[in-house]
Amino acid sequence: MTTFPIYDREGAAVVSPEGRLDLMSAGDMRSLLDDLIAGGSRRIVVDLAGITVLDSSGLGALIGGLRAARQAGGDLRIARPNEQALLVLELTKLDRVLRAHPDVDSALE
Amino acid sequence: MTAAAETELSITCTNDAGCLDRAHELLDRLWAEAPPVPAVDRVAFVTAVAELIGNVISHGGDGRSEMELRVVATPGELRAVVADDGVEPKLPADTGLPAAEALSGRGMHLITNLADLDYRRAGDHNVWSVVRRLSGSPPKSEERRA
Repeated sequence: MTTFPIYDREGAAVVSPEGRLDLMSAGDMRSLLDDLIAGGSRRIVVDLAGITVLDSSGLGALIGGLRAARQAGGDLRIARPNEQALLVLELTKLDRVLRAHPDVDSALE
Repeated sequence: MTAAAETELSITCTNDAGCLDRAHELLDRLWAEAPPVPAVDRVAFVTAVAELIGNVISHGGDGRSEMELRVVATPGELRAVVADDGVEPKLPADTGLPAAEALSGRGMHLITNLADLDYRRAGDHNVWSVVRRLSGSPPKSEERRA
């Protein structure tokens, strides 16, 4: 079961999901990102440190959130992917679109 | 040296969300029970198996009622075989990457870049296999001949 704690940091919404970001949780992740943007959040950081496995569906949720954030004039960034998530980002060449920040603070810069 | 030649584990599951959970539990058990596997291969194999099962769940044949997953660790490779009793699927013609803004279509690309993927229809079952050759292990003899 994947959970999605959210906190505010310097006016940005930081989502720090715990568990797998995959086929089974991607829909919830996408809804949460859409809700944040609809609620006025423009700067969103997804802290991936608690994500054990990222799959192509999870990537789709992040890309969807990025698109929605940019359309609203904001941005979505990611921080602290593990080795598996980095591999998935690199192989899909999405590391160019979703650059992996080493921590939440550098993602906020 | 008398190392165990193979470690083999399997599950059969019927519930989609449960299948993915149990597949990850099975892989965790494999790492615990098999001789040490390099991290790069473990990560690649977990990624490929998760995508494969995701594909069967998402695009699996209508009428599928159960799925079997078997994972095997040998000194030279990691192998997963997924069999389901759904109708024959339409295989994607190419496994290239979609546009960067696309929301889906990257699963097969991931699998084929991390492992050797094979599909066959066997009776009334779909049988998929992914094989990850371990880093540093020599190629199989038949491939040296080829």
